Amino acid sequence: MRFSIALALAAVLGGWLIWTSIGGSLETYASPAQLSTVAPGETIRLNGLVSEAPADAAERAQSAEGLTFWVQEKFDASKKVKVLYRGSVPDAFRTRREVVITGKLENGAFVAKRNSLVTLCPSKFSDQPAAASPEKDTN
Amino acid sequence: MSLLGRALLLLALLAAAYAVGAALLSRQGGRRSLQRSAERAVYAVCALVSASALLMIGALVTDDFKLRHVAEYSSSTLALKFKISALWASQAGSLLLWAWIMSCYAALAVWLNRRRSRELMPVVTAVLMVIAGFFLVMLSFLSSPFETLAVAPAEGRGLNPLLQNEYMMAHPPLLYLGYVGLAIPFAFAIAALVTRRLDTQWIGYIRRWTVVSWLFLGVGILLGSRWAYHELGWGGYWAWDPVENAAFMPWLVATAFLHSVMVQERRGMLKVWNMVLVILTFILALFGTFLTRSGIVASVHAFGESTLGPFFLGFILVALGGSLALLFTRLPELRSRHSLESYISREAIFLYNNLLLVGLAFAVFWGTIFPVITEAVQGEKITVGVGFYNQVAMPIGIALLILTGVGPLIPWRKASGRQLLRRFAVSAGIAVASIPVLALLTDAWDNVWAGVVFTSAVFVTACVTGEFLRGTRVRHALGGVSWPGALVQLVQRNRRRYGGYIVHLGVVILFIGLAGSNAFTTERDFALKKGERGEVAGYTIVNEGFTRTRTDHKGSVTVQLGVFEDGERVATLRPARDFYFADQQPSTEVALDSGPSRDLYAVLGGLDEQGLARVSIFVNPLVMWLWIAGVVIFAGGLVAAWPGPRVRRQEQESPSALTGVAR
Repeated sequence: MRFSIALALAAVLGGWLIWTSIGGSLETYASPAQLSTVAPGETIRLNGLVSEAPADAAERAQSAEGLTFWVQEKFDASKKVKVLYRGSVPDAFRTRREVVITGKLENGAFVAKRNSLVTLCPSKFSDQPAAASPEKDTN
Repeated sequence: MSLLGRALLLLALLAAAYAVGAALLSRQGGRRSLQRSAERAVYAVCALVSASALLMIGALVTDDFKLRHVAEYSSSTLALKFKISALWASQAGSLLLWAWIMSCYAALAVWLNRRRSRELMPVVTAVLMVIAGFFLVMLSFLSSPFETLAVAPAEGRGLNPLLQNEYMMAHPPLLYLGYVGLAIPFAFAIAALVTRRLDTQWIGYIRRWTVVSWLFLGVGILLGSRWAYHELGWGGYWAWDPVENAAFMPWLVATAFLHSVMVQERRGMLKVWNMVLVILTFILALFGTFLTRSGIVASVHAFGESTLGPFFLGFILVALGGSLALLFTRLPELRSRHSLESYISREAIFLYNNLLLVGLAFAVFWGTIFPVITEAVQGEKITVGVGFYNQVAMPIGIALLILTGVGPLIPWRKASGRQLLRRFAVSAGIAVASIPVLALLTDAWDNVWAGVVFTSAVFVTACVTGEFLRGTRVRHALGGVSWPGALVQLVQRNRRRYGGYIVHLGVVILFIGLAGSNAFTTERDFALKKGERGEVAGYTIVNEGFTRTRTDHKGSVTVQLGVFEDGERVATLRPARDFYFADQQPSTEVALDSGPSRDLYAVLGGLDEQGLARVSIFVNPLVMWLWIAGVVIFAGGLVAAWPGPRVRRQEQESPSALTGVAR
């Protein structure tokens, strides 16, 4: 009996904690093409390819102006969005690399949260590295 | 080479299949010879998989670029140690590592138990070989490490520079030693259910396996964090990334099991719960592998999409469904001998600790798969941010921290008010007294959450130290031994208990590191020319010039930063940036000055033509204590798991003695 009461109480408390915590932290995944459908002010995880990465990206991302680059739709280079980013830039950041950045849309540009840039590296751990690798073109 | 490797794996698969059949058949009419034959097959699987793994290592070391794995993940210029560690750089390679560890563990488990638990062992053998067989099927038919290329390239593509360091040599194998080790308790649990031998005997057999796997998993996770901290250059060590969560969840549930199992041994309660935990731990270990291999959730590690996802998911569902169905049919036999007598008792505290740990694991699980669920339900991929995890983990973590001090002091069955007062008055008094001291002399209470953690840490330390003191005093008074001698004797005579307390002290240290580095980190960016200075968190940073070097491999630029506090030089940091020509990729080399009170962490963003250096400086308090905690926890775990001489002798004499002594 006591066991059941403790269990029930824990479930209620835990559920409440998860519920309240989840509310404020939702982030919607969107590609550049999907950005138009996102409500203003919503936190977004932007997912796409880097159109053209400047060679001194890490340097710029630490400057007062920040790093500006374009992220394009994976299979459609015409759909893209300008990104303003500050913070640390992963070493794998480069042109045509798939990235995920957390931030918000402000006046048509995507303003990223500090240190939120993540690069996905498809080349080194998939079961078909040669086919999935964008590095092949550059090497 | 390729043919031999494939043949070895296929033979291993056949041997595993034979072991399953022979072991299960031996249960009919107690045919011992058949079970012995199955056990020999297990040794054969171990030998065959080891041979194929060594063959692959040989291919890596000798630059056999005919093999795709070698050509894709190694190169002739790679250092020998990294050639070996390239074994687990690819998907097929890491599956091979998994199968290798699995087959060695299985052989060890069978060998250690060759003279005991005759009823359980056939089923244990069968379960272990089914799991090994699953990996061998994948290695043979879906993702072979011995795949060859039509034309062998002259040079390999090399190992990702991020993986070329000692942490990445140790982190994946340790993690796997943990993950895979959890299969042994699972196999014993299934065997207990199948054979209806549901007393505490099977628990005695797996206790040490669980502790050791738990240790490996924990240390693996910590080394992974240390790698991220040292190599990735964003100043942090944990990001609640799906792949990190994948390892964290089974560790949490295994921690819960390590505690609740004591309630079953002592009071015959929570039998169903313990079964669920053992099953869940292993399923979560499989799920972790599935998460990293399937690419179902976007992650920093993002190993790309692989074709193995459905197979893994299928195996997980079969394992989960099968074990739960089996558990369901045995429910009547798992009824508790006792019921919970009081909300304030040792068993109740263990229950709370379990609910918190499993609750946290559930929240992490929920957060990790949230995008998959929303995409299925709403058609929109929504994820939860780091904020969610921190918000959930913080209160749960603090509650758990306090319980690490409370639990050991509360008596079994029920505690009276007077008992509580007597046992906790001193510790609580010390904790309360520490608040003004911490607030006045340190910044601890500048952040309320951190203040609560630090004060709780004082409380728990007082509780646990008190336990050591009391025990030592009694021994000193009884035996006429010296104080240190009494302490050593105390721990030696009851390794499990006092090893556990050492782990608890390690947990306290861990929380101090977590609170310090989460609540008080300062980060600032600087653009400094030579001779210029900047201020961060009371430190003055001075650019003292740069050096550029260039080899055939890479170009490097290093900036020297002098760090001054109150006019005195406290550190010299040399953050660097390399550029690897072969990969066309830069590599950030973090500069770190580690100390007990804070880490100074410098990242070089770049150096322009005019000599203007852009650097980020992080002042991360108390990070060092995370790694110290890891060492303490590891030491405590070893003490708890180490077989004492007495236990060893009794194990040989009678199989049932172990459970009695292990308590």
